[in-house]
Amino acid sequence: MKLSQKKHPLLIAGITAALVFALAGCASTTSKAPQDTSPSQEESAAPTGGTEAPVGSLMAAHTLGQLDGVALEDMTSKFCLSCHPRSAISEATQDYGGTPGYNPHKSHYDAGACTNCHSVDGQSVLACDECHTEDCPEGWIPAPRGENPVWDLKKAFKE
Amino acid sequence: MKEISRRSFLTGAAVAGVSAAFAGTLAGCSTTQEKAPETPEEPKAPATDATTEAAAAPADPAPAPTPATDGKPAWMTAPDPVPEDEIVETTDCEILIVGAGVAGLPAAMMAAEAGADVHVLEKGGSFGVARLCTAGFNSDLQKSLGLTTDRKDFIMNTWAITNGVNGRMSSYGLWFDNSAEYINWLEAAFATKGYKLIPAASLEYKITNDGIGMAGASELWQCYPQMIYFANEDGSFFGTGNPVNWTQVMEEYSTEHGAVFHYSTPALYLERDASGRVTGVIAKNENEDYVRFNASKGVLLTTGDMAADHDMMEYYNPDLAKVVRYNINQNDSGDGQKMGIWIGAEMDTAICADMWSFSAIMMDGKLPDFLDGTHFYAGVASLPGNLMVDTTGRRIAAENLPFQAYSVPKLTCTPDGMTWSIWDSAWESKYPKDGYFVEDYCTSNTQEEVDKNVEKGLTFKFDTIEELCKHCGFDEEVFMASFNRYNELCDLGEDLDFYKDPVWMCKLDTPPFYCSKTCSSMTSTRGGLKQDERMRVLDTKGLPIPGLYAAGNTAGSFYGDVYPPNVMGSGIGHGQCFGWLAIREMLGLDYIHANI
Repeated sequence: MKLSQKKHPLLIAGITAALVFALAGCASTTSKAPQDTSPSQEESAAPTGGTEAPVGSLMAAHTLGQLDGVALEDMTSKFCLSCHPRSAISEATQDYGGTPGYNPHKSHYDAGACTNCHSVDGQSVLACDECHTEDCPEGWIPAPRGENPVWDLKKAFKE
Repeated sequence: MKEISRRSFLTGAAVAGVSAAFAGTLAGCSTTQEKAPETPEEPKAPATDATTEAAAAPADPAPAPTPATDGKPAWMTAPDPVPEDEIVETTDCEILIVGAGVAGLPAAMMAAEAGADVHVLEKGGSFGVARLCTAGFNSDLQKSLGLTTDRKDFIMNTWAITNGVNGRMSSYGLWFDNSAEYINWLEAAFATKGYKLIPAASLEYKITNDGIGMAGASELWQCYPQMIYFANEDGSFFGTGNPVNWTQVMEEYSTEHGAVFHYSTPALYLERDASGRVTGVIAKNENEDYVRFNASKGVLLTTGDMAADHDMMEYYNPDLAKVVRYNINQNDSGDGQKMGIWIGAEMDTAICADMWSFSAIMMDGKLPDFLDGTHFYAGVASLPGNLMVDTTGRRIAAENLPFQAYSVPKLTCTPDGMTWSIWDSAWESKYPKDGYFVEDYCTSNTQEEVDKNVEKGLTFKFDTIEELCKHCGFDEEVFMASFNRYNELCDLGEDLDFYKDPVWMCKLDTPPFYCSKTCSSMTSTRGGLKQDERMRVLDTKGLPIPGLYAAGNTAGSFYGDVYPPNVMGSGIGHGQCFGWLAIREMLGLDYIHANI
C-alpha cells in the first residue's frame, strides 16, 4: 500500500497549496500580534514578506499581510496556535508524504516552537530528517544528519 | 488500527481533503482571543519543596533554590516555583500519569478502563515510539503454547548471576507473579482493537543470537526468551515486515475509555501538601502557559530514562560515556527522576543501560550511513566463532555470550567500549550451521554481506594477520599474544581463558582475514527512583512518599549496575507491568503482592 515515490511531489505541492490557502484565510483576525503589550514591535526588525520570502517560509505563505508588523520574537507557538488549532494542524499532516504513521506535527520528540522548523522569512528545515529520511515540502531542506541512528519510516508502519 | 483516510488523502482528492482538514483551521480563526488566565486558587499548601536536603519531611514554605555550591550537579537543584498568578489553569483529576511512553500507556489504559478520571502529560508532541515487544511469564497465551518458566530458577538466575547480586530480588518475583495477569489483560484489550500477541519463543524468527536451542551457546548465561510481540490479526508483525504501531493502539484504547492526553506539556515539578503527600504537578503547555494538575489518588512518573542528559547519566554510570550509538529517545532527560530527587526521593546508587553489543562503526568513528535502525550490525561480525579484542588487541570475554551479554565486559573492560571482530575466509565452513541465524533483526550473516561491507569500508580484508594488526592500530605485542594464544586454545580444543564452547573455537588460519570494528549501542538507561513493592517512590529514609509512584525506566529497585542481558524484554516487560500495578494500587484493585 505504499505510495509510489512519483506521487510525492504532487502530494506535497497539494498540501503546500492547501496550507497557504488555509493560512491566508486567517488574515482578518490575525493582522496584529496577540501580545499587544509587547514593547519590541517597533524596536525589532520585522520580517519582510511577499515575493521576496523563500518558498516554504511563513512569510511566503502569509501573503495577505497577516504577519506584517509582527516582531520575530512575538511569533511564538502561542501566536501560531491562536489561528491554527492544534487539532487541525495535526490532522492535516497525518501520514505525511505517504508514510503511514508519520506526522511532523505530532513528533514523538519535544519539537519545541513552530519556528524551530518553519522559518519566518528564511529557509525552513525539516527537523525529522536528523534521524529520518522523509521527503521535504516544497522549498524546505532536510535537517543535517545527526549522530544518532537513521530510521527509515517507510520501512516502519503500514496500514 | 483505525483505517486512516490516507488513500483518499493521496489521490486526486488530496487537496480537497486537506482543505477540509483546514476548515477547522479557519473556524479556529474566530477564536483568536487569548484565554484569560484563571484566578489563581488560594494555595492550600506551599507550592513545592524545592530543596533536595528537605527529604520527605513535610513541605515547609519553599525557599528559593540557590545554585549548587557544594559540588552537587546543577540538575539536582529544583527550579524556582512558578508564581501563583502565572498559573493559568488548574485541572483536578484522580490519577495523573507523567509520560505517555511504553510504561505510561498501559497505565493509562488500566486507569481509564477502570473508570478513573485520568490525565496523561507528555513532553513530546505524541505518544512514545512503539519499541520491540512486551514480556511476561506463564500467561495463558504462553502456557497454551507450552511455554512455561520456573519461578525460582528465573529469580535466582536473574538476581544472582546476571544482575551481579544487585537490584532488589523481590522485584523479580513481583514481576514474575503479576506478569501473567498483565499479559492476559493486555491480550484481551488488544483483541478488542483487532490485534494479537505472539510469544517470541513460539516463532522460528530470532532478533539475534540468544543461544536458546543453538549450538555452542554459553552455559554461563541462561537466556529467558520472554519477549512477546504485538501482531496483526493475520499473525504478521515487525519480523515479517508489518509492524504494529502498538503505542498508538494503546493511546486510542485509553482515549476511548476516557483518558485525557496533553501533548507538548512537560511536567516541571511535583507539588505536595503540608503533610508531604504529592498532590500533583505544575506543567507547561504548548502555549507555554503554566498549568496545575491535581491528582487525588496519585501521580505516576513514567517519563522514561535519563540517557538524553549525559551529565546525569554519567554521574550514575561513568562507563556509559563510552557508548557511541545512542539509539535513544532524546526526550528522556531524566525528568521524572529529577522531579523525585527535588522532593527528597532516593535514587539507585548505580545504574546500567540496555546495550546491544556489536553495533557497526566506521573507521572515522561515525555510524555507517548505509545501515538503518534495524540492520545495524556488520554481517558476520557478531558471530560467536570470531576472535574479539579491544582496541589494544586484548581478548576480553567469551565471544559466545548470548543476546546482549557481551556488551557488559565490552563496556566495563575496555577503554572505549569498542572491540574488533576478526574472522577468516573459511568461517562459513567452520561455524556450526545450527549455531547462528543467517538473517535476523540485526544483520545478514552471509559472505555476500561481508563482501558488500568490504566495498563500503565497514569491513576490511587482509592477506596477513600482521597487516590486519597494523590497520586496526593494535599494540602489536598485545594483539599477537592474544591471537597466538587464541589459536593455541583452538588447537587444544578448550578455551581455558574464557571457556567459550569448543564448537566456536575455530582457529584463524585461512587468509585473507576479515575484521570489523564494533561499538556499544544503547537504547536507554536502567535505574531510577527507588520504590517499594507497591510501586511507591521511596525517600532517603526508605519510606514511601505518599501519592508518588514510578514505573518503567524512571523507576529503580530492579536492576543493579548490570542490565540483565539474559532476560529478553525485561525493560518493557516489567516497566509495563509495574505501571499497570501502580494504577491497581492507587485504585485498590487486587494483585499479587511480594515480600509483604
